[in-house]
Amino acid sequence: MNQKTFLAFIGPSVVMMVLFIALPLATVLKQSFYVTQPVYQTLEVETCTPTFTGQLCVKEIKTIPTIGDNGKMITQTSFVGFVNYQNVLELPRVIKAFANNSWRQFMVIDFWKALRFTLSFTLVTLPLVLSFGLIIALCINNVAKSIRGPVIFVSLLPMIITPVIGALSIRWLFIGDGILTSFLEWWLVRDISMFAQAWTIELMMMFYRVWHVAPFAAIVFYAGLQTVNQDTVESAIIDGASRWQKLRYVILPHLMPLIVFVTLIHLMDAYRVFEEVVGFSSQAHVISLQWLTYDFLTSDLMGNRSIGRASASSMLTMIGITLLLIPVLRGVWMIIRVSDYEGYKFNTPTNRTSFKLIFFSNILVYCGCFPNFLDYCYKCKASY
Amino acid sequence: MAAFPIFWITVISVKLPIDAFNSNPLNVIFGPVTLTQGKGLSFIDITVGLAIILFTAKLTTGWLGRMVNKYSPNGYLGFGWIIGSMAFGISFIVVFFAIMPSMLSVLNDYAGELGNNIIGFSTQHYSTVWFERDFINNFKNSLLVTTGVVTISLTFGTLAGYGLSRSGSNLAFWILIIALIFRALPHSVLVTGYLPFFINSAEILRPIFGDAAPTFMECLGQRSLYWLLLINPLQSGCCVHSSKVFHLNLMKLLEWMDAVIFKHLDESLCL
Repeated sequence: MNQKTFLAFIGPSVVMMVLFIALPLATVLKQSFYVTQPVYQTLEVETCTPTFTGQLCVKEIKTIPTIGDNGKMITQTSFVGFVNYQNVLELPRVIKAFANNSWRQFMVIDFWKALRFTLSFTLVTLPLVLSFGLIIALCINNVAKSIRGPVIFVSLLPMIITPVIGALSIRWLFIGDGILTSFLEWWLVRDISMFAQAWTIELMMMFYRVWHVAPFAAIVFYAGLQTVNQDTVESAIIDGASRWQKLRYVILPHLMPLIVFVTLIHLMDAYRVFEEVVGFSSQAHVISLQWLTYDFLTSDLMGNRSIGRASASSMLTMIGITLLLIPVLRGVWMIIRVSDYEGYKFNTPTNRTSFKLIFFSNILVYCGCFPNFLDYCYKCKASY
Repeated sequence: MAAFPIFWITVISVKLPIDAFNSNPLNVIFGPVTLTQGKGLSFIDITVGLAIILFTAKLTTGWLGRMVNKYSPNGYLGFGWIIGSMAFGISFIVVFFAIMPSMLSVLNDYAGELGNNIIGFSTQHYSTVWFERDFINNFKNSLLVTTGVVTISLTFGTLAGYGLSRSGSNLAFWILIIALIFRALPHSVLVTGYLPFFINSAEILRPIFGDAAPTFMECLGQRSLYWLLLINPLQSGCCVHSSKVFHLNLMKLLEWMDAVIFKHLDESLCL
């Protein structure tokens, strides 16, 4: 494809990405260094109230926002450097908490609390999503052809349902004397209130997320299972491979690119966890980074929004997700370089580099890129 | 396990709250309190309702497809499906929610023992949501966002996906990486970027519209969220639904498209 056609194809997307993502990002970066505040003035105000004997007047000095001609508060925007970041990170409190050796004090600071939850949420749900996705996919694959359609439909339901409703449906199983809570109470013979402490809420949020995303992983893996090379499977069986060995040495390596793909997507999606906080009303106990930004953006009673701090926390969130994705993206980058340098010659499954080659190039394929490159990989695999 | 929470939310939606949040699952299913208020289903209701649902399912999987194939003009099969399924859906709603209940109420009176209510069932929450809380507005918003997202994302995303997949250049690689990072952005980051524009839109648009310049945040209210629909397709559209038509067999492709469309539907309906 020549350069001109290529540009024509990606042009619309690129223009819209610049207009609706890159430009707002630039303004977020700019705003994170500015603070917009109402202009306050100090006035001496005399308030008089009528009494029986005459007037009772009180003079007070008040600080009030200046009101402009249009009846709105006058605001001014000033450059403040890294003050917004300081306000979000609250480093002095962090240092104090560490000086006191107190994890608890550290965890009451909003940003770090949100970061702790977001990271643990992302990293705990990831292996669960992958393993449950794989189990479901294997189950679907082994079910009789005649009922496979309905089984796929039912196992996809959690993915189709909207996140907030899904979260609510889990919440209502547990809230108050919800049936699952009463079941747990009966089983453990003790009183349980699932919404009274942070860790149980976190458990439910993670349970919800795994329930919601595992079908997505399952359908991707199921698609992958359709292309497992049957010759390889047969030869493995002839060589006396057990069921587990077949899974471990034939099917999993074949699915590895898809596992990486699901990992990538799940890292991105779980890092911006938000619906769970809303659905489980967990704001008092557990907050996520995206919820923190949203909270800064929400206007207070006077109609002020702390856009400066929201921008700072946005930038920090963005840096966080980029750091989290760097290992994967770096792998992609390396693969491209390697493929340029050595071609696709060393494509034996025993060769670690070639393994990586297939591993990462498939991400690109499922992300819509570099098909030819993958062709080679598959050809090599087949010829081997 | 996949279906249970959804099944359960369906069950509690037709019970009064005191039954819906009862700690005994059997009470939730049979709804004694709902029943004492005279709201319930008899054996006949359940049998006829299930029969109609099964019959409809059978029609949908067989007859509907044949009729659409037979009557849609050449080359307009997709259009025929839209018309056909809409007509089918509307007639189902009319039969199931209007004709059937009125006929069943007459039938129950004559049926004696079989006509007595055995399971608590109340549609009052549904009528509250639809008629008193203007659910139709929310529904319209969601439909608008969904249509926008699916249209824009499929058009632009497929174009870009095809372009990227047929080019092995450095530029393509970097665009992909940037698109991936954009996809990873939490939505609130972009809202932070849009918000000042929405708040100040009256000032920004004054040179064009004069004094009638709208403030998005005020006059459109929730609708300003429509702008978000432009984020969604770009974030996920460009990268996910690749044009790997040539590598995947048709079934897999369909699954992929389904997965992508479902993803968009659910993300946008969440608004």
